[in-house]
Amino acid sequence: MIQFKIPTRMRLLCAALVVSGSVGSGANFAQAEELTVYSALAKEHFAELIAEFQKREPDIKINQLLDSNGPIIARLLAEKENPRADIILGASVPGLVMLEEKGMLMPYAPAGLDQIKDRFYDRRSETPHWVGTDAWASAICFNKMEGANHEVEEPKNWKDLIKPEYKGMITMPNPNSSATGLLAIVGWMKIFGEDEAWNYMDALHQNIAQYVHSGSKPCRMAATGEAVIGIAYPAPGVKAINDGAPLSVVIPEEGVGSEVEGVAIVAGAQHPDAARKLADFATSLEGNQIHNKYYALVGRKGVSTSVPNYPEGEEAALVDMDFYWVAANRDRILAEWQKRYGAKDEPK
Amino acid sequence: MAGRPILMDGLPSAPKGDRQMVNQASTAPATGQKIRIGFSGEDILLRLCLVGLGLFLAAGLLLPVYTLLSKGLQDADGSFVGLQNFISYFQEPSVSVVFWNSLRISVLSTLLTLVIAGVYAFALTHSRMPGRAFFRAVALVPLLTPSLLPGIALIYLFGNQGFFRSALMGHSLYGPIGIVIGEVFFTFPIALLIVLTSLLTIDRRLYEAATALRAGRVRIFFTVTLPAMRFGLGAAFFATFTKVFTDFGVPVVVGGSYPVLATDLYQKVIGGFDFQMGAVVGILLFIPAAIAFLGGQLLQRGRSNGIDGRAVVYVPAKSRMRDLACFGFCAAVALAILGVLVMAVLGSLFKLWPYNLSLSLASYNFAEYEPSGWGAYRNSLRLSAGVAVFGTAVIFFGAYLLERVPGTAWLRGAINFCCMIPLAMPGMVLGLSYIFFFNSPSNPFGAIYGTMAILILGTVVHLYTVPHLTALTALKQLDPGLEAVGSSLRVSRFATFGRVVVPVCLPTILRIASYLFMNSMTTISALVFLYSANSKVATVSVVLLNDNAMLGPAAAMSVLIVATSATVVSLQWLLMHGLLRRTQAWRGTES
Repeated sequence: MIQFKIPTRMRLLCAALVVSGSVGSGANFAQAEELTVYSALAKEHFAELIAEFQKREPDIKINQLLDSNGPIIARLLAEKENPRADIILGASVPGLVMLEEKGMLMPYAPAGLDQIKDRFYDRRSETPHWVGTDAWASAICFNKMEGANHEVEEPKNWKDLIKPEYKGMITMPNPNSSATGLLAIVGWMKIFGEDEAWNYMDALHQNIAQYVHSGSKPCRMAATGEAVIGIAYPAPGVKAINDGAPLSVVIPEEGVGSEVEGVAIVAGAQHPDAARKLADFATSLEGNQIHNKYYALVGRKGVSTSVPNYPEGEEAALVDMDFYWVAANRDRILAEWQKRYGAKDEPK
Repeated sequence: MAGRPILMDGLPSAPKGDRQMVNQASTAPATGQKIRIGFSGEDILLRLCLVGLGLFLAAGLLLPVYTLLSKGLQDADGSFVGLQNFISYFQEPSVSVVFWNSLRISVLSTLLTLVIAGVYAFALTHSRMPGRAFFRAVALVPLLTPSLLPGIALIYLFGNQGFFRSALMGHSLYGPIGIVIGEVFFTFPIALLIVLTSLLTIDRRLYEAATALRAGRVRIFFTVTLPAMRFGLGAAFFATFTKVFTDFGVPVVVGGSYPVLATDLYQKVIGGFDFQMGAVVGILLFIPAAIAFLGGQLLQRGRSNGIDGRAVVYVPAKSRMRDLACFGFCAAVALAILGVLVMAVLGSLFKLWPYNLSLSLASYNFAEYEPSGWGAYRNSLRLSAGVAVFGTAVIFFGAYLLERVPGTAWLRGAINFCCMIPLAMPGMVLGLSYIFFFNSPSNPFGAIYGTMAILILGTVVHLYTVPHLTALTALKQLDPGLEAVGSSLRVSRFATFGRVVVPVCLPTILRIASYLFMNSMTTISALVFLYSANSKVATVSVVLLNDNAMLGPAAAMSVLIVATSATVVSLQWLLMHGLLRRTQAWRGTES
């Protein structure tokens, strides 16, 4: 009689073996008011924005995935056949353009679109696929203490960086993995022209200590003296200054490339209504006031207060970027970059 | 220390004749129609379980890997292009340099590790220096650490602001130097344990014979000791090479601009969205690892003939000079290992390195630096517990099915082979293949994508082989007549399994669970492609913190991981001692 009892138990075990994979999957299936947000915004920025949004829409439950821009776009591409996200926040516009060209974004004009600055939304389509929330630009971080130790001056402009005295002192993000790295390069192409930009990078390459994986790393490396100079963007440098690092953030005289970050709804989103509500909020006046706490430049006209310790003159130094050109030429630029500098051995 | 030494010891042999005998013995006696019917029903069920295990491995290993391989042979649009991707990879020197970098680094690190581990093992077994037990314990410390930790500690020690940067004589840590030092630290215990096993099996009578033949000490070393170490060193070479070649943790931290395959793969997929090339690089990562794995297997085959059951354990003679030299060497190595660990702990406590070295716990306030905060650590505990429970159940019951249950020979052989594959399968390749396989809309298991379940599944498969071999070894030691006795007492096989096999093997089961828990805490490679916002684990958090140059918090999270694995291992050790006394009493006079 035992023989009947125990096999049942085993059958359950065997069944468990086979279907084990599906355990715990329940959470992924959505209820009515759920919203899956992929965000490349900084954590505090995202938290404040979502907290304010949920005050308005308390019934929407937010599932969030926060990461850097690259991983977010990579994940969206990986999930192309089977999208998990409803809405993307804070992704870089070249990345969004790439998604748009693959048919992965759902066009939507948020409520206050007429209040958004021209260069901050998708003007190529009748209904925009993405709307910018904020923008940031390239900058140079310089460690004053290490600079003094090595007896080098603070650089004033991009051309300074190719002086031989900075040899082995500079880090910049690898453009293959970092939007910040790519931005610096397309910025130089805009400022110097493409051929001259490659010449410039050839010279700069002689001074580079490391190409690093992430966009915020160069300024943080400069902040801890692992490098003297970091080519990146102001925010992590400003944060390091506030934490007490002997750092200065330089806006180079020739001008800086800028990148807009925006909000977009995923084509095939499972909760398009909730996604539209969040898109409306992220582009609203209140939303932009929150963005403005973290970025000097935001998408909505007339919203501008200065961020404490943010370097001055950034808006004046911006050069006009062509996102579509960047999106169209990205692969070519990266391949050429890889060919020239990708196989670099560690410099002495 | 959990099952890693088994790497060498418990490779499964081909199904032996005696199992067939048992099978016949239990079915042949014509004790009545009743039992025969009952048995065959149970038999079918057991076979179904075996099929279930096969399906599990198919879904968790074979199909994902197949998907990856086929991606590597397609172009971006999905049409078949054969080896074209690989040809173009190697035709572009700026691309294929990465492959050669990996190969160079791996060979160099492996040779260095072998020399250090070889001398260390020799000192432990062939000298009477004091503190041998202590040195053995210290040598195993790197097993508790994620491979990210040595890299982080090296930055504090030898980075551009490091305390001992002058030791590198102006060379930069970032690149080959840092990778090699980090890998030697990380793989040292693996090589040591394997070489140690081979040294411990040397027959004392050989030394006695050599001495009687008036061979000098040097000559004895070259004619007795070294030849005996040969297999151990060979096996250690393959195991270490595979580990270094596929490791992600060390190069991602101190690799600088010196690309190796693992970091290149990460960059291609996470940074460059290039899944096509990702698949190609993944396959390149797999091939040398697979060759090394096969090399290790072949070597194993050669070795098993040479062991003599009457061997006598070697006891070294007294020698002041030798002991002093051995002690000096081991002390230096132990100091280096502990130095790395202590540096990581200190690093996690500095307020603002390198400008303010006062101590504070600020780096442990993870929420300041990373969105997931302490949640990543909690997720690691959940993952490790899940892998320990689910993995132990599947692996041990699976090994029981394979070892002690009659079944179709080809199916058993095939499953046994599948159980060995994960040892050669780099975690990153497994992770990448899971993206391709589980995220396809036609996959019925697709719902687990992005959940903790896929991390658990991936980790169980990734870690499958070693505990599987541990379980097989333990099960082989059981009397083959157990089931026969059970069935003659009219007890079902499941009852025998539950009431006899599991209790008798409880120490092994515990060891498997602890191995799985500890390795799930420290593993990174398979997870880096699979985590989602809600399932980010501690090691992934370390990678992201390091990507953002937040060294203090990265050190803090690594220290937390080490502390947790150390706690689990200690708990297992304590439990084991209690258990051994209670459950192994039956061994009694036998041992």
